[in-house]
Amino acid sequence: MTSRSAQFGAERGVPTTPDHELMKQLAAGQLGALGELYDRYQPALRSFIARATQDSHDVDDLVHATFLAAAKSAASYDGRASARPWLIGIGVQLLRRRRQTFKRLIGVLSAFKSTLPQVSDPRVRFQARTDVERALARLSEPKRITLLMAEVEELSCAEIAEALAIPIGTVWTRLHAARRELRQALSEEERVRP
Amino acid sequence: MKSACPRLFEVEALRDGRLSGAEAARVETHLGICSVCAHEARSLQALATALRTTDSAANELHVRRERTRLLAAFDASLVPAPHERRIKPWLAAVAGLALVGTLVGLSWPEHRPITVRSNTAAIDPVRIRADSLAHWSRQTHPQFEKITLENGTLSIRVDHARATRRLLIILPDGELEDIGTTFSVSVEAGRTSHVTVQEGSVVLRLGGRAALALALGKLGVPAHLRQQRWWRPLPPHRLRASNARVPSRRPPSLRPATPRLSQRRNRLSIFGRPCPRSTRVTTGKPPRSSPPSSRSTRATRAPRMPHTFVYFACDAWAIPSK
Repeated sequence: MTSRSAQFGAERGVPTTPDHELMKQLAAGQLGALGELYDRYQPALRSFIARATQDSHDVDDLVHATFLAAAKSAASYDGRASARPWLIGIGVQLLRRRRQTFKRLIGVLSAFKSTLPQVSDPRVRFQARTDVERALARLSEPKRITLLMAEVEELSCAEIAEALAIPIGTVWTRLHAARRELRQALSEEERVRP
Repeated sequence: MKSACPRLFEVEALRDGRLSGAEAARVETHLGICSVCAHEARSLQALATALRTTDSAANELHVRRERTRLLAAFDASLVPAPHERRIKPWLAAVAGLALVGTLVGLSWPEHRPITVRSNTAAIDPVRIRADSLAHWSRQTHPQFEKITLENGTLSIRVDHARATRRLLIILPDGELEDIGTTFSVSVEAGRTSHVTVQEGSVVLRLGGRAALALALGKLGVPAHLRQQRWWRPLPPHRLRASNARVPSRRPPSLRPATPRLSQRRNRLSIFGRPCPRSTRVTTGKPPRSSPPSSRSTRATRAPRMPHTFVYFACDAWAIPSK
């Protein structure tokens, strides 16, 4: 699997500054560099986060936090041609923290089971519009994120393992399980459809 | 129904990068000849394409608004606002002053008496409290301490466990010697008006007369009687007898305040003779203006005092002349 390093500005035919140069300018505190980085990768990052979280309310905040974290870490950018996988990695780390936070919150709420009849995830569910989105929503978040990183962002399994801080074997296992469950869900959708 | 190819798993392995080199080339060759594996490869690719085409993009206005918010936040992280830099030291100063004020306010009422008390107790066994009109002075001699009271009221407490000298109160018309007590003495218009003993006893010598011993109680000297010649002091042998304590047959009480009636009568005897059995002992506020012709001796107890005092209102007949 090859990593896609498409330059959004280059796709529009606009002469652009390479990502590593943008990162240097961003590390120097130039606001314009952050604006250009945002213009390049905001759609992809937003789409990834929206589908990964299935939470329509948190998407803007997570995108915002990802770019701010990238700006703070710009000095440590590794110099790769495209900053997209790097940004996706930052976004995934923020997603993990958020998931752990919600896990603790739900754990606390579950402690009051005797007083609350039912404890559910307070996040607003993402409104799936297609069969694929509905099937994707049925996956667990770790599997969903791994699948999106591999199939949508076209990151290699080694890059995914590094971004998620998990063994590469776990990435392979998650990918296989995610594809199987997704296809099963899609086939069920086709059977249910009149 | 198509039969499953035993090499079907290699399609996904190739896609995930688990195969490389010659193995990957062999699988790609196999895909060209195996319809099952080729179908699996197309199915996986279709799934990936379906995932990529999912559109969740926001509208342009929302993106612009978010972009501005991001740049503003980044700018704020680079350059803190000037008013924040001005406010921070000011806030820190106010918070510091408030904290210091709170600490001082909390600690002041507790620490001040402790300090004064410890200093006073360590240095001076004689604690003197003077009223606002008191005019007095104090002199220390090797054998005794002399406090001269010209006017006003002094309340004195002597810690005899630490005191090494006698304490003499020099009054305009006599002197008062402490023999282990807490007492107060008042002087009005150059004459002794009241002596109140709250604990222990004192010896009063007025106008060159012999000593009067006063235990727990208050000696009031009416102004119109102070010049009378019949003011008779207690003879020395009666004075010693009156100072002797009456042993109690009861076990010591935990209430130290109120003396028994027999003790009150015994103290009344300091004026020259024992208190008659018909003496009325009443409790309540002492009369402010007792008529001089009243032939009675009253022992009254002031209510709600931290220490219980017994007030002796002395009338003319209670101190008969011999």
